[in-house]
Parts: sequence; C-alpha cells; structure tokens
Amino acid sequence: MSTEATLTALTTTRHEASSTAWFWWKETRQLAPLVALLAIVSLLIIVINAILGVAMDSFRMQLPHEVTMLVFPGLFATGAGPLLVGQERSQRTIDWLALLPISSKRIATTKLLVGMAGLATMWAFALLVITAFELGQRDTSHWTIGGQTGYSGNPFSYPVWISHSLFVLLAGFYVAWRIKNQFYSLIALIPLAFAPLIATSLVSEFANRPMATGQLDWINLGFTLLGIVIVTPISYRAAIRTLGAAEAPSVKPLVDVSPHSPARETNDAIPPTFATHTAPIIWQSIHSAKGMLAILIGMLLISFLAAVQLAAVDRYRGIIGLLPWLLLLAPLAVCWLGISVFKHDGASERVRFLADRGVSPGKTYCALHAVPIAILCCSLLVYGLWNLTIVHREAVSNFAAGLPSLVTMLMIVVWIYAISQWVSQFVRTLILSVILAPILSLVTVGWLVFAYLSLGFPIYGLILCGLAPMVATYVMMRRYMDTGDRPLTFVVGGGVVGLIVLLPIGFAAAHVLSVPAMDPTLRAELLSEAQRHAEPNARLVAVPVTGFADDSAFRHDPLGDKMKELQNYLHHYKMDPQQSVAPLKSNASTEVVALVGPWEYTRWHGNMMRARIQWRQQQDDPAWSELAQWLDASATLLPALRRSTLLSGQEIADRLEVLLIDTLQNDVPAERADEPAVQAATQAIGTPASRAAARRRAVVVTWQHKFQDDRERYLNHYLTVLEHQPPGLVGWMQPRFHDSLVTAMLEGIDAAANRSDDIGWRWKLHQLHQTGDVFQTSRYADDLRSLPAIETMTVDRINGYGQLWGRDWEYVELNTRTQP
Amino acid sequence: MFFSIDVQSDVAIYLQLVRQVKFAIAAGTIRPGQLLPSVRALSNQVALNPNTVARAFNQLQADGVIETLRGRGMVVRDAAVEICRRERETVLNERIGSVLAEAWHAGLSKKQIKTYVDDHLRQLVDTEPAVLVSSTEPSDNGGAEE
Amino acid sequence: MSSEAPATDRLPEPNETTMEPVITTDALTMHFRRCDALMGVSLEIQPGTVFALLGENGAGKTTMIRILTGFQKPTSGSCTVCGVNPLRDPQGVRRQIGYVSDAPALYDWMTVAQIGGFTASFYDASFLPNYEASIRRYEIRPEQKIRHLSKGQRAKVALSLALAHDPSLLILDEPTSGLDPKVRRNFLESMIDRAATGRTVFLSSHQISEVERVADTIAILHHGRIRLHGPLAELRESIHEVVIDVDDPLRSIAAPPEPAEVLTEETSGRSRQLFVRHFSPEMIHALREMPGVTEVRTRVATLEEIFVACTSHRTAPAMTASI
Repeated sequence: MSTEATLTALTTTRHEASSTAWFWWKETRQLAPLVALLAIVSLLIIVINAILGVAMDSFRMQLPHEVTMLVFPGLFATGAGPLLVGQERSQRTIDWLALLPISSKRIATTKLLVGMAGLATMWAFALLVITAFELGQRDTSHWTIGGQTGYSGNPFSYPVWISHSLFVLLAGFYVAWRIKNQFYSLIALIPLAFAPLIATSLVSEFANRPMATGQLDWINLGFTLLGIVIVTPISYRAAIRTLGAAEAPSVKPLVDVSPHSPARETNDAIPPTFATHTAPIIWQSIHSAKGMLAILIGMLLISFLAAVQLAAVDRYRGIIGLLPWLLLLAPLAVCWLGISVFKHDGASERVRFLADRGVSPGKTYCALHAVPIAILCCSLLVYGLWNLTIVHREAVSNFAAGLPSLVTMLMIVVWIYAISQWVSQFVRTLILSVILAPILSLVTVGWLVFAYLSLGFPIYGLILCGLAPMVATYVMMRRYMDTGDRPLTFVVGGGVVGLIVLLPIGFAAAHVLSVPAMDPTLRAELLSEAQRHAEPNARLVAVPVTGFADDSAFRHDPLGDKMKELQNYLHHYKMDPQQSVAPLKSNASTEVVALVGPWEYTRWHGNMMRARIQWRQQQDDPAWSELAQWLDASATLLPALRRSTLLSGQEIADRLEVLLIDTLQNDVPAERADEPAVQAATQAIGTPASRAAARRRAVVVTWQHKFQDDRERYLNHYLTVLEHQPPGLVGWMQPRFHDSLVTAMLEGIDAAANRSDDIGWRWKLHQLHQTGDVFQTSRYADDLRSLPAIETMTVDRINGYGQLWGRDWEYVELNTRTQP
Repeated sequence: MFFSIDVQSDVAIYLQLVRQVKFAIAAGTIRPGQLLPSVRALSNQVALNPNTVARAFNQLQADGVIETLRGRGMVVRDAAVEICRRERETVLNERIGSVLAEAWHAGLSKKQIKTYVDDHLRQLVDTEPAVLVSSTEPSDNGGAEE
Repeated sequence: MSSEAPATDRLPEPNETTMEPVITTDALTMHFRRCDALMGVSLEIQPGTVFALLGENGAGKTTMIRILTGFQKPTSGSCTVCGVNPLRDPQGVRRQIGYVSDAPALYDWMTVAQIGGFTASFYDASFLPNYEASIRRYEIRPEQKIRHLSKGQRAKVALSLALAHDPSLLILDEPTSGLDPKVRRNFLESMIDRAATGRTVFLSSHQISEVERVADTIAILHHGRIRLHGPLAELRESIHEVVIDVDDPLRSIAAPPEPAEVLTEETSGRSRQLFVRHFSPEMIHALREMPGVTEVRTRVATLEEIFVACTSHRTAPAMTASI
C-alpha cells in the first residue's frame, strides 16, 4: 500500500531530525507567506519603475530604487513579530504548542532567533541587489557612521537603518506577546517603532541650538541601541508570562448574589430592538469593534490636528518636525478602515453566520461597508470645511498652499479605501493584508495621479478605476460568504488590476491615435521629393536688415529733447535697401537664396511703407526715386526669398509680395509704369503656380530637415497645440502633429494654386497653431481672410503658416503686367 | 457472541453481562470448555469500562460458571450448564411472576389471567422451541389444562 | 477473539491498596470578574480509573482543566497532577499527560505526517511509530493537510498526538462534541484501551450515554461546587425515581425519613415525582401506608436524570460519596 511506503520513508528520514531543526522549519514555514509577499511586491515595483523609466521621457514619479530595496527589510521587521506570535495567538495554536514538552524560554527564543535570521537574510539580499545594480548615488550612501553635513534627512545611512530595523523587529515581538488582539498590537507598534525618532526630535527641540544632521544621526543611533537594550528583556518577560499560567484576577467577588438579582442587572441584559434589517448588522459591526473604530477615528483626528498645526507655522524645527510624520496616520487609517471591512466580523467564517440565516450578499456588503464609509464621509466633510477656512498662499505657509482640494482628497481616499478593502477580501491573513494594502494603495494612487497629470486620463476614468475594486468585491460577495471564492477571486482580481493598469494606457493610446499619421506611401513620396530638392551647392546669403550694431549705441535719455529723440530714432531706423541687397546682386551668376528672419522683415516693411507715404505726401522726384529704390531692391529680394527652402522664408516672401503688389496697385501712377524699377518689380511677382511650387518645395524640405531626419528621429519644432496635450504624451503626439501639419499645408498649397474654397486645411492649421480660439474668429476663417491681406498680416512675427495662402492678393491681375 | 447492553435500565451493567452470559450458556450458544474473550477485548467490543467487565467476570467466577485456565484465560466450566439453566428458570419464573402481578394489580380476575395464559400456551405447544438442548420430558408439555 | 496476554486480564481488586492518587485538588477556588467558576473543589482521582466530570456548560469544567494543566492560576487552593504541582512546574505536568480539547487548534498548513514528525522530535523515539500506527488505524492519509481534514479526522489526529507518547494521564475536554457517532466510538475505544492498560483517563463531558458506559467514577459540578462524587455503579444503585400517586392534587406528602435524601421533587396533577437517594424498600411500604397515597412506583434513576436532578437546585448541599 502506498500509505505504508510513505510511512516507512517518513520514519527512516525523520527519525534523526532534531527538535531544533523541526522547530526552525515550522517557524520558517510560517514566515514564508510574508517573504513571498514582499518579494512579489518589490518585483512589482521594480518592474513598474523600469517600464515607466523606459516608456516615458518626462516621468515625474519614480521611486529611487534603493529606497525600494531598503523598505523591505523594514516591512519584514514590522511583520515578523505579529506573524510568528500574534497569528499563533489569535488562532490558538500557541496553546497547543505550549502543551508539548517545550519550555517557554525555548519557544520565545526560537521565534525571536528565526525572526532575526530572516531579517539578516532580507538585509543581505537588499544590500546585494543594491551593490550589484549600483542603485543610489555613491556620495549619499554611507558605509561609515555619521552623515555628511548638508544632506537633510539622510535616509541612506545604513548602520542607522539596520539597527532601527532590528529595534522594530524586537518591538514587534514585544507588542505581539503583550497584546492579544492583533489589531491593537499593530496600533501599539507604530509609536513604539518611531520612539527613537521621537526621542531624537525631542532632544533637538529642547537643545538650545540647531543641530547638524550628522549629530542627529548619532543621537538617533544611540536611542535605537538603547531601545534594543530595553525592549529585549521586557519582550522576553512578556513571552514567559503569556506562555505561562494566567494570573487569577484579583477581584472581590460578589457575596452570594443570585444571577437574577437586581444587583447584577445591566443595560446589556436588555435586548436591543431594530426597525430595519440592516440596522442590526451595522449595530453589531460597531459594537464588536468599538475599540478599533475608536482608534482609527483617533488616528484621523490626530492627523487632522497635525495638518491644522502645520498650516499655521512656517518652519519645521524640533518637535514640529515630527508633525509631517503624523500626517501619514490619515492614509494609514483609511487603509486600515478598508482592511477592517473583511476582517474580524467581515471575516468569511463570521459572515457565514449571516449567510446561514439567509441575509442576502448585497445587504451584507452594504452593512459591512456602511460604518467605514460613514466615518470617511464625515472626515472628508470636516476636511472640506476646514480647507475653506485656510488661506492657500505660500506666504503664510508652504503647507497650506499645497493642500489638495476636497475633490482630490476624495479621489485619493476612494482609491486607498477601495484597494484596501479588496486586498482585505483577497488575503485571508490579517498581518499580510496589513502590509500589502498600504503598498498597493500607494502604488495605485501614484499610478492614477500620474495618469491624470501626465497621460491626460479623464476624471470619469479615475472614478471608474476607483470603483472597480468595490464592484469586484461586491461580485465576489456571495462566493466569499460561502468561502468558495478561491479560484475565481484571482480571476476577478486580475481583471481589476488589468483595468486599473490598462485603462489609462488605453485612453492615452486612443488619444495619441486620434491624430492621424501620414500615409506611408505619401511619406515615401515626400522623402524622395525632398532628396531631389536638396541642393548642397545652394548659396545662402543672410541679408542684413536689422542692423543691431547701430541700435546698441542708442540710449534713452528721459530729460532730453523729445523732438531730437524722435529724429534720432528715425535716423537709426532708416536703412538703405540697395545696401542690404547688395550681396544678392553681386553673386548674380549663381542662384542665391536670401535669409531673412521673421523679426527682421518688419524693418524692411516699415521703411518701404515710409517711402510710400512720403511719395504720397510729397509726390516729387526725390520721393519717387526713393520709392523706386525700394521697388528695385524688393524685386531683387523677392525671387531670392522664393528660392528659400525654409518655411519662414516663404512666409516672408509672401509678405513682401503682398507689399509689392499693394504698392504697384495703389502707389505707382500709370505714367511711371515703364520705369525700370517698376518693371523689375512687376516681373518679380510670381503666379499662383510658381508660388505653389516654391511653397511645396519649402514644406517638403523643411519637413525632411526640421521635423524628421533620415534616421526617423523627430526634431523639435514648436506647435502651440502641444501645450494643450498631456505632458506625458507629448513625445508621441509630436510626430503625428507634424505629419498632419505637413499634409494640411500641402493641401493648402494645392487649394491656393487651384483657387478652391476648401476649408479643411485651414481648419486643421487653425487647430495646430491657435488652439483654444473659436475658428470663426481666427486668422484662418473667412471673416478675416476676406479683408485685404496687407491690413491683416503680421509683419514682426509668424504665428502660423499659411495665413496668406489663397487669399485675394494672389489672383490680382496687375495691369502693368500686360507688358511683355 | 454478541451482547446488547441497555445503559439506562434498572439493572446494573455488569449484571446484564452476567445474565446474558448465563443465558447463552444455558441456550448452548457457549459450550463448556469454550474460552471467553479477555477483559480488554470484551470491553473494546462492547465499549464498556474494563472494570465493569472485570466485575462481571468476577461475579461469574463467584457463581461457579467460569474458571481460570492457567495461561489462557477464562473458560466455561462443565457444571456451568446446569447452574445456568437453573438460573434461567429462576429468572423466567420471576418474570412470569412479575407479569402476573402486573395483570393482577391492574384489576384482571384470576379467570381472565388463566384464559390468557392457556391461550398462549396452546399456540406455543405446537411450535418447536428454539433451544438447542431441551431439559424437559415430553410428557411435561401435554396434559389437561387445569 | 484476540490473543492478549492473560496477565493483563487481572485487574487490581477494588480493595487492593491503591497507589497515590493521580490528581488531587484541595479547596480549589477560581473567581473571575463575572462569575465564580470554582468554589472550593476537592477531589481525588485514583490511578487506573476513568473519571468523568459532568456539568452544564459554563459550570467550571474547562477552568478546572486549565488549572490542572497549568494554564491558569487559581484564586486559592492547590492541586497535584501526577505528583507535580502545576503551578510550580507546568512543564513537568504537561510532559506526563496527554490533552485533547474540543476543536483542537492544530497547525492548518501542516500535513498529518509533518505535525507527527514535528511533535515526535520533542519526545522519545517511540512516539512516531505509535503515532503512525494510530493514524493508520484511523485510515487517515498522512499526506493530507490538516485544513482539508474533516472535524472528526482532526479530532482523531489530535487524539493520536496526545496518546503517542503513552502518557499515564489522558485529559479529554469534551473531545467529541459535534462529531459523528463513529468518531465518538473511536474515542470511547481509546479511553477503554487506556483504562485496560492501567492508565488514567480524566473525561470532561456531557455525553451522558458515553459516560455511563465508560466511567468508573463520576463527579457532577454545578455552579462551581461538586454536587455528587463517587463510583458510578454505586451512585446509580443508590438513587431512585419514586412516583407517588395521590388522591387529591393538593395533598402534601411528608418526605421520606432519614437516611433518604430527596434530590428534587416535581408535581404533575395527582402524581409526584421524587428523586431520592438511599431509598430502601421499607420506605415504599411506609409511603403506601400514608393517608391519601394510592400508588407508589419506583425504579433506578438513569444518569441523565441524576444529572438533571443535581443541576437544577442552586442551594442543595454538596454531597460526597459515602465510602
């Protein structure tokens, strides 16, 4: 029989095993879930960090890796004591263990030694990972005692951290031995674990001088060691006392009073009456966990008072330095409220009591959640009202300025609570859920905040993600009450996790994909076209228009003569056009391309307008000759500009052409039409087709150079629309926007050449350049475009391409042109 | 053999054991010279305290029904059959007496009782008794009714 | 018919000199904040017997066991278990006894074999074979985890663990509450086996039928006091239920004379039911002679009736065995 074989095998192999080995094996096996949990969570965080680091360039949330690795020995130290001792006490297996011939001393010391060995292992592993992957910076991590001055907080001083985790481990054992209720023992552990820190800040508060961080480190270490020395013996004594005989309570008994006498009558004897069906469940929830609820409410209150205090002070020194730590009590309390839903009275064994009596899962669910949600709503209300009363200005207090609004707080509380209550239903052991829930809540809150800020996740998406865990636990409620939830709960849990992770990513992807990318064939065409137009031998000549050197000599004198100032200014503003275009003429043999910056053109434009006005006013020969100069110079400049392969060059060429056409139309009298300057100017003006070709060339080449190089990298070109996109997605959306810009511009060029009224390209360009404005009032709409171009065009800057394309000036027939 | 013990009856448990052993010997289910199970085995079989079983065995020994066989355990004595039969008759006599007393005290007349007794006897005479060894003479069953 | 060695058949006669009592308690008192669990309990339990402690729920049975095993310090009084004072040396006591409680808290995640191996490492080498034989007899698969066992199987595992080191005293605290009759039978057989080999069993139970089969001595604990204490057979023989029919429902009857003690009395129409101790047959005639009495019937009381009778009065004086 197989049983026989198994038994004989067991007999021969186990017979020589010593009791110590067995004891250590048992304790280690009991610690295994905690270690596994911490390993999984640390892996999770590392993976998330890695993904975020790779995927995003401009991420704002990433934990420093070494903090991740260092937190886990700390969490292990917190959980080891409650898991090894508290869990056994609550499950009463410690009573069975005490029945065996093992002395209490041995039980206590073995458990403690196993805990310490585990802690040492965790530390070794963490330090190994840190050194192997070289996490953290060399100059802020220390191998000697004492920190470098200047780094406040200094969390990476290893000896302090190690000794502190040892102290936390011992404190955990002490509270577990001393206090039977697991929840109360965890509560008691918090102040005890922070005791050295509190002592250190008390010392620095009462010392009359500010202390450097190095000194604070030493004091911290001293208090930690003192703590270890104190806690070890009292922990041992608590263990012996717990494992030994319980003391007889020393109460004077009532002398022979019958159980039914009035002397023993209390309120508890009167059964309470209820009006509805859910009321008794709620009443029972409150009364069975009165202490725990009181403590949680107390934690929320303490946090709130700390916040009130912090909002009133400016600098954090001494004991005030502890207050930010107290703020952490609030999210912890919310987390534990969530955990308490499915533990204690929500635990599946006790909930079965209700299931056996036919209470529906829905009602049970509502009843279990009623009290915690009520508490949270009240606290949020208080917070909201207080938030209204404080002044959100940095001058008063940095802290007050940074307080989140009620809606933000509500969302965060909902996320923490939802995740915690889901973990509570999912993980059966109390201590494991207490450790897992805060970590998962933190990760979720961080991820969702990141999604909202950087990925443009909409608010209803946030609400959905917040409610998903609540829905999950509701769905699993029936099976949970029948304790048959194990396989399915993993599936549902995976669904929730998937939703929270993938929904923001999905939204982001949808958002990115909403901007159409360029068709690959079109892209290939344009690339080849760009190759054709690339002329390495083209000569680029910068036309000096502004003359900055002159301006630097000009200084504003408030006491000077205003008229003289004006004349001075005018003198500096004047320029000689022929001088400016001289470089263009001297190289007439080759095809020259002129370079004029958009902010430089305004001077040319202004001077030419001045010449025109002068001509209109004076109508004499010197005025004409000046104007003729300008006409001639423009005639030289314009073709050179048209050859430019920069988009800005084409825009300036457009403006110059508009100016030239306007001058020829309005200011040149018919009798002067034959003058060489006028003729030259008339010749220089192109046709819609030529302009279209020039523009197209410019668009294609600019796209190839400025937007994208041969290696498919997208270079920086600023589009206003990018300001309005979620910052995390800018990197992905930029190329797509560039592509749509180019396609719109190509369409526009075609429309201008064919004189079509197609509005599509204009609308796209409006979106890309001037998002936020109503289309009807923008420069791309018919209203503004129907006005003459010379009145509406911008001469000092270009705030959007293509505003001049296809407008009436392009199709003007100059009567001076009729000449061959 | 199998025992049926009524834990709640008036009769002490050990006495029930004793009586059932004696009846079994009288009926021939247990033969003289047969080995009885040990106290331990018997107490396990009937789920009774071994002291009770031991007390029953002591009583049987005192009554001369069983004796110790060195190295083996308790055996039934040859003379036990007679003793047990006599005991059984005594017990049956008592039982008949108590039934008749109950009928009498319930108010039945002597004639009624006799009628019932004769009716039952008439039915039983025709059937074969279930006992293996009979100690009666054939003539005892016949005879005119009184 | 098994072939046990006949030497073990001979149990000590009742009047052989007994050894020291296995358990003695002397005026054991335990006061809790809300109740008085024990009020001056004095007992002596002889070795090789099965002692049953009966009592209602909350009568103090578990408290007494906790005191005997050294888990609780009594308010006053003392006790000795196997010659050791549990207050001074609880480990010494626990080494010599086996203890099975109701719903024993074993490590859920261990398998049956693992918990056996774990426990065996603290005892001597004979533990493991005994344990494995026991598990085999109960037909429990050793590789099963304890959390997958049924309640009955778990109780059997706990019993095997308690018995594998052959303790001289086995303490059972309502071990079969809520278990099916087959498992109860198994426990019963174990108890009988222990008694048959000369070990002592201390059973705290309110399964009256089991107690009647298996107990040598019983004690009834009621509101912290021992109401009845003595060998089961004698107690049963000494307590009778007496039913008296009278002509008139309102007629009152004098109580039976000394040395008879009336435990309880109940009236229903024209019948009166009394539970009387040390009732002699002469008293029947005396009762019949009384005016107004039409009929007197009597029979031996069952243990259940004795238990109910002892536990209904609050102020009945404590009675001890008259041996």
